[in-house]
Amino acid sequence: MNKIKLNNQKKIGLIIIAVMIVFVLSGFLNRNSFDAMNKDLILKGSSILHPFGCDEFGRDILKRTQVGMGISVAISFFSVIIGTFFGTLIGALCGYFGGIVDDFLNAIINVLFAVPSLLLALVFVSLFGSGMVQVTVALGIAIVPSFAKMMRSEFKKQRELEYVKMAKLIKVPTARIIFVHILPNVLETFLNCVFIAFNNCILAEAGLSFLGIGVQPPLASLGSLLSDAGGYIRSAPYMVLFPALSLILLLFGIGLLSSGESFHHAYSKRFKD
Amino acid sequence: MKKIKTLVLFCLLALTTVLCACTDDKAKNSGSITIGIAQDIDDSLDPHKMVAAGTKEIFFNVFEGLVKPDSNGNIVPAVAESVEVSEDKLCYTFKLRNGIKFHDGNAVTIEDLEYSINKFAGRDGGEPVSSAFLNVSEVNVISDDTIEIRLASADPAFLSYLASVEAAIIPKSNATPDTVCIGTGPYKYVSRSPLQNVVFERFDEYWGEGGDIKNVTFKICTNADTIAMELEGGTIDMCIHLTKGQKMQLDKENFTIYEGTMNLVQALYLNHSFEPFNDVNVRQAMNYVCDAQEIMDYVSDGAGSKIGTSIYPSFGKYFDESLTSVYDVNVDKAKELMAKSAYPDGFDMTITVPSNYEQHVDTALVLKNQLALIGINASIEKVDWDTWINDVYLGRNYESTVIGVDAANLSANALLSRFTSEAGDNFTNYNNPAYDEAFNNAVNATDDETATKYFKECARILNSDAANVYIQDLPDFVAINKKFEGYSFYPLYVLDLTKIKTVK
Repeated sequence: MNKIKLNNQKKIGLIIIAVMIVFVLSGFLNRNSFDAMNKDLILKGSSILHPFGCDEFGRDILKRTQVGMGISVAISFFSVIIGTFFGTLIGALCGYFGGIVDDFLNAIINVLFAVPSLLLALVFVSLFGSGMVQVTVALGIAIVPSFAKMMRSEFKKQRELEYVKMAKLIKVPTARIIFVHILPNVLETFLNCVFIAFNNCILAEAGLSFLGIGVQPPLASLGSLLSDAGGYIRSAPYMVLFPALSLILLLFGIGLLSSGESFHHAYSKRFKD
Repeated sequence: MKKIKTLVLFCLLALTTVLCACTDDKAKNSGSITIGIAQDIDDSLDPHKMVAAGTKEIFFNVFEGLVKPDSNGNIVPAVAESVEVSEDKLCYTFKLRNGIKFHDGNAVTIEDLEYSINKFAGRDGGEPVSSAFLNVSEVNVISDDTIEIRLASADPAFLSYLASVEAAIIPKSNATPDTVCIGTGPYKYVSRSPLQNVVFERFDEYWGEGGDIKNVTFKICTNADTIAMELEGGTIDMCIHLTKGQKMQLDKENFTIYEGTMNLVQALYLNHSFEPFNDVNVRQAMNYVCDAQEIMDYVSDGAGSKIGTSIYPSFGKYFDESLTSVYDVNVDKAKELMAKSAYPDGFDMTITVPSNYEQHVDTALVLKNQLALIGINASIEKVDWDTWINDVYLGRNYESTVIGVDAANLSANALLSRFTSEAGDNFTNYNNPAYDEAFNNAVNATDDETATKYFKECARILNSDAANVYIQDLPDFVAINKKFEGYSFYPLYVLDLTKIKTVK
């Protein structure tokens, strides 16, 4: 009864993500260190000990990709939590109450929305310095406007429906109506938003690192791996290839998972049962 | 029909291009070269107001002082034909070179000399380009082709201050030197398009040998990742200051790579106001554990030269080779020294590095691993260049930083004055009375020998006191398309276009 039926796209997406999770976790078994330098291995190609080759400091690229992906995913995960929390809260308040609350919060969101999210993150990073925490918070803030917009329109729709009116009539507390009654009904949009935001975060983090303001070296993220490798694209193409492939695969997996109308079917099926 | 027309037009165009190239080859000395430079030239065109090292580097070809440096670090006459120095070293008499002309075709007169000297020495009410010129007490015109400069106190390095773009001779008649650029050098300034290029042309009435190539275009390539591609693709023929990564991308068949040094003192500069760095044991331990050779191996394929103090090898007589081996790697000794200090178990520190300089960031990465050997836990903070200038260099609000410090002219003063306790540019907050005394002795010395002796003494103090963790004079790679030849490195940060010739 509680089984959520998945379409093939989502199945493939899940498989890819499972593979990526195993890939990152297997990093703990990889005995190479992500920051140990080795003069003899500078820009050496693939070998049994270092299947992804070594970078300009003789560091193992496999281990760095595993660590980098872990960090990229962690940053995205926490920024999505920050972003969805505030985004949903603001969106729900706007959509449910309307009137002056809506006007006020919506004005703020519109101003934030007018600024490109990457620029917003850039401003934040230049104000508070660069580092993992700052980047996470910056990306989180950057997600808020789009999330709030989405949630606002959903709540506006739901507010007019019978079940909400009934609940109001029998004096169910407002907070309960918002979070217990309405929220589960907008879960479909919510989840899709989360996946898209997660994807955008991974890309934005890669972008920030590429600009040199993401995680600080010697720690790696997918973006910093790519930007470091850029200069060696001719002499050591595998330095770009492997991190780039991992990034593409990860995004593809998440993209598949969030794609299509399937969640709708899955949930409506659940309610029918 | 239309297609045929287009085709014919295209063929004609192609033919014209080919024929143009033919005429180019036949005519001698009318070649052109495009040189990639990393930053836009948005300085003033007044040589006395130029600030950025990158601007002075290329305007070395446009402006000349009374004297100029050559590639061996000697000072040779330029606008002045000869120099006479009086017995007491207080009076310098310059004889104007016969027949020398400005780029606008006018002859250089003694009034121009007087005007220029008064201008750059700050005697016309403006700021002197260097505090060293405050020493000028009198500028007297003796005759139509002779001028003398009198000093308040003897300064053996006075000529080296004059041998720089900052002390260029410019025409008095030019009312707007900020925007109109007239000098006496082998190349004249033609035009500039912001963020695009700067164009120079050979000055055919130059007094000396002059350049070989007629047209020189400096193309501004701010994107470091595309420089190698532009070289390979032929949009630029030459590029200065390549990194190891860019160098490796080039095809050795098509390019000559010249290898020299950048003339910088690269070090892990320590803020002496930050707690552990005021302890000489800690500083010496850090010096013992840092392996300059290993850094060179990682950062620049083993190229670069060790320094050991704030003087780089091109400084010839001031450079003391023995100082480079004082702190040969000795981890046990380093651990001993750490045990003697207040931090036997090590400490945490931050290395602030400007993110636009890849070599410095990479150096910091290797240093982090080396410092870990004696329990020092260094974390790296990459900042953008403006933040670095404001917070680290001007604000002195940092713990340590990796950077290269350059010299404005060929006097040891240019490198060593910043470590005196009162110096405005003493960004390391170094404070050592013995050093101040040695430096004062050097500056006040009347003869060159004594001055050199005391400057070397200063360098030795910086070394034995382990003022900073001195690493290297960075290697500099210059790539030139095989169509051209003849780049030569200077002991200063300059690019001499007259040395570059077309291969016949």
